[in-house]
Amino acid sequence: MNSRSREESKKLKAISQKGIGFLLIAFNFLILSSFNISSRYYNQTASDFFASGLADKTLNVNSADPELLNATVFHAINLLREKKGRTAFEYSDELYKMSKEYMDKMEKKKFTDPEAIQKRYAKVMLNDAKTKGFKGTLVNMNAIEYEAIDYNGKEFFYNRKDSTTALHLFYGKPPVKNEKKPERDSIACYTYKTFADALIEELVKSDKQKITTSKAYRFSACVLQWDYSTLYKKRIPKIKLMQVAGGFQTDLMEEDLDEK
Amino acid sequence: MDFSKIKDAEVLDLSRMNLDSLPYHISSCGKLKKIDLSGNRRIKVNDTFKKLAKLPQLETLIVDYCNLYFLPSVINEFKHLKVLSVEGNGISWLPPTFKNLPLEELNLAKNNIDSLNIGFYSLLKLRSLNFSQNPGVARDYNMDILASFPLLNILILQHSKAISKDVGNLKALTHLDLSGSDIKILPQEVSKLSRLKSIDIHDCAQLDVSVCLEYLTSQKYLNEIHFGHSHFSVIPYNISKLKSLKTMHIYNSILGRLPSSFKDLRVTTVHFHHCSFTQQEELFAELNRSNKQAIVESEKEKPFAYDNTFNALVLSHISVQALQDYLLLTSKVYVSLKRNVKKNTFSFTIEPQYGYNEKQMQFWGDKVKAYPELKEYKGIRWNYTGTTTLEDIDNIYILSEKDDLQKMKKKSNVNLYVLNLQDIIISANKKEDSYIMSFSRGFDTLHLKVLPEHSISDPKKLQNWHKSRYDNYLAERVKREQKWLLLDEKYVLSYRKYEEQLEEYRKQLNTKFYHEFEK
Repeated sequence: MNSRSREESKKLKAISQKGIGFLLIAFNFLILSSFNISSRYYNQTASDFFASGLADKTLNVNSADPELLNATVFHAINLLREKKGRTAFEYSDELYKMSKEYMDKMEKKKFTDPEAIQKRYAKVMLNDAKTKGFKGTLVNMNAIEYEAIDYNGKEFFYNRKDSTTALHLFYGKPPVKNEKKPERDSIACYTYKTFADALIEELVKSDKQKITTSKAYRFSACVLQWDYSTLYKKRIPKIKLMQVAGGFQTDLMEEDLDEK
Repeated sequence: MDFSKIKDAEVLDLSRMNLDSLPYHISSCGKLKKIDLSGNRRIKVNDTFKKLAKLPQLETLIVDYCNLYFLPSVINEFKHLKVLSVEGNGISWLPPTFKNLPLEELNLAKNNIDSLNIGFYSLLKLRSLNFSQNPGVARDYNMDILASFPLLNILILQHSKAISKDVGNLKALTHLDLSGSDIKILPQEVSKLSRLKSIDIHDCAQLDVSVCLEYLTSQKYLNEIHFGHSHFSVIPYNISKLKSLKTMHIYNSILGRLPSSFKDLRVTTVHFHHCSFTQQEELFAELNRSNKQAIVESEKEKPFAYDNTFNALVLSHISVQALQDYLLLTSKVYVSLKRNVKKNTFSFTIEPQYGYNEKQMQFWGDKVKAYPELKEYKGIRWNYTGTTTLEDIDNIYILSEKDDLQKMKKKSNVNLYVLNLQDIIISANKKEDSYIMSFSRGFDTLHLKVLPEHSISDPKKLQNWHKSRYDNYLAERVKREQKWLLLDEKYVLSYRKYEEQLEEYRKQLNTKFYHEFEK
């Protein structure tokens, strides 16, 4: 009996090992595939990206795709630059890592007073960019917070018992008992594109250094994240943006000697 | 001679015909590819070269033993010339420029050339050079110049009294001929010639062959070796260390038995040139046993066609005052080094100090020319942090003073020469935020990635700061190029005056000699 049980246990071990191996492979595949998706977003121009219809999905908390959100804001900024006659930003992986790290740091502290954040990081930004592998020596950042839903400024309330909407937020006052018309209009969600447009309007207003439309920067990356402290409360949910832009000091020295 | 019959000729041999000048009809030979004028000592140099320059397809020109004393600057007008031989002409200086000359083979043997000048850099396609029996063979500087030719495969330095150690820098070399030299020891730097396929050290009576073979053991591609002289009797035991050797040539030797290590050799054929054997049967039996083919050549070589009595004429009394008017200003770039021993990192700052340490140097055989446009950058420090210490030291060492290698490792100051007219080029690095400063010496370039320090924080102002400086640099560079072009023209004019002087001197010598000869 003992020998049988040992054999069975060995078989089980082998099966479990195989299973773990399979899971690891699957996990890696998932990571790789997500990486491919993100690179696919940045391989195209802004107009192609918006023509593909990816950004027409509704921006919902439960089913939000963070990579798609980052990419739509990035491309929306590029569209704005093209309108103003600037060259589009090139996506930089190093700057993306950097902005993500800053976003994680800010997650621990509160994301209040974006200007203070900019000042705080101004001294260390260049060194951080170098450690991430960025080869330019001009680095600057933008940090803002903006409403994640299409809210028009009227009175609203939070309905805990609601199961139809994701954020359970409705216009007006909460229904009283025995009310004839207890239905209320829910606050509408943005699509990825409309959100990005609205966000960029706000970004341009708050951007005192005009990083988004500056000629000086060539590379950029954006990271966006839901402000979790504003979710599922009687508050308008917000999304935080961390945009890092970088460039070369020697960008204007592009003339070749041979051409001269 | 009826030149109308040879209009379609491709090869023309006019050697030893005692010609004064070429006939006018030579210009009608449009298909001529090779012409041999050797031995015509009374020929008018400038006239003949001007006539030959008009031939559209001329590829090889042989003017050996013509008592030229100078190579005319008209040589720049030969646009298809691939092979030039000016052996035994008593030439002491080469023309200042070799622009547009696609030379592949150059024979300068048996002349009085002491140093190869800057114009020599423009012979980019040079593959083989015969520089034997020139006083410049022992000069380190000449080897430095030759090291910058990427295609130079064949170097012939026969019958030389000393050889520069810098021959080890000629890394493209595949064939090295040192036969008949008086050297006692082969420079150890020969072991650095990693592409060497064949070496010729025969008739070097004072040379210890076994020591030479020891230096050559690191060569991976060495297929062929020529050795032996009149006192040579034993093939060294360490020949088996040359593992890629396939053919062996032994000259003028009295050989006994073969060494026991001969079996281990991969040699397939052994050539014996004018050798005699004390134990002939045993030697060839051993060769048969080890499956090696033996070829015995005992014919005597033909004697030289021309004697060298005329080539030893000394030209010291000819005045070259006209040339001394064109002296050049030199300057240096100072590099200060900082080493971090713990991190094994290496950083340096470059301070161009133009107009500060200028010296006057002679035109002929110069190394250095000045770069006045960089005066704008005086006071700016260029920072660079390298990757590994050794790589960077190696890079700088290429362009720095040679004795300073040890200093460079210990101390913090090194002089970096600004070299040829081809120059420092500054351009923006498109992959990184830096300038690339390339210091070039022929093909030997050192790229430094540098970015000047500044006190501006606004990105737009910063970029404009760099741009304005770069624009100034470009504008001054264009001016400087024009200036150098003018200077080059002046050099050529001065060289032509020198040619005229030599031509007159040559006429006098020839008339004297032929009067005596006829008597």
